[in-house]
Amino acid sequence: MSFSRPNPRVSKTILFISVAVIANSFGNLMLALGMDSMPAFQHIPLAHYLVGLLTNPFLIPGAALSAVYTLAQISLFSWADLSFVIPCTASSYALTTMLGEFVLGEHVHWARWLGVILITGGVVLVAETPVTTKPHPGENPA
Amino acid sequence: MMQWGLILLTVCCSSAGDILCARGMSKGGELSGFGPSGIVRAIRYIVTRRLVILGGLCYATAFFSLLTLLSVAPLSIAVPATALGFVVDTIGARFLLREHVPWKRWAGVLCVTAGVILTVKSGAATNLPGGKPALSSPRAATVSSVSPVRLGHPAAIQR
Repeated sequence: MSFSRPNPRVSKTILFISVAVIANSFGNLMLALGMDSMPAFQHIPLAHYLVGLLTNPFLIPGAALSAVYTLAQISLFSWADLSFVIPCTASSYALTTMLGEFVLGEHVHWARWLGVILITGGVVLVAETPVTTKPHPGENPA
Repeated sequence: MMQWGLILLTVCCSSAGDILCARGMSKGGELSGFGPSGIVRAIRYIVTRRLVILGGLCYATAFFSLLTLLSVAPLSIAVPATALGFVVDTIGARFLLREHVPWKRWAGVLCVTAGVILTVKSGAATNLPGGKPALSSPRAATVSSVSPVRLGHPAAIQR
């Protein structure tokens, strides 16, 4: 039995999509937890609100993870098709639903689980297509 | 009427941002080497691409448009409607970026769009009695129903 060596571009794409999805989901989770503990904006002075934002233990890491997500997604555009990247990174909807259910204890309706199944099926279909369908500068399509 | 205009503006600006960023990044060759120096190089590369900066401005416009939309439309309409961006992105990728979009990718995009609409709509609709969620109400939106909005806006997450 022999195994073919994985295409480095495909491996890199899987890695970057995973980083983008995890960073987006956990970033949003942390931002949600951080904003949940903030007082209503209209009830306190702006300066106090800003200090609260900057000293909140969840908001800065949440913002940093959102930056990682943005950087990973924009980097992906340098070698992968837009029509491949965008649906694949939508896996974050599925992961965030799971985080909502299992980490935050939110009640997740059955229809939302059906949505998660549809997203997963859609991502599997997209993942079966080539990462890129057009030549990039100096290279042939993968 | 205003809410449909804002939905259109949000979807168009978000997709324009995606298309401009993809165009800007694909013109310069594949990024590689993601150690500490590679990350600095990648950031420098990204912030010096005109099309990427223009794309960033489109994202910013879409972000503020979405915030305005959320102030005039129920969450259960506003957020799922922005999922149409997946389809607009794919159409833009096919006709503006000249990508070849196989049927499996079209089918996948339609599944993802339907899944996102179902995920967000059912999440938003079950949070408040009467299915009329609004961000100004406490506990109006659960994390799993609003947080993964494609624009990643923290303001929409405040509960």
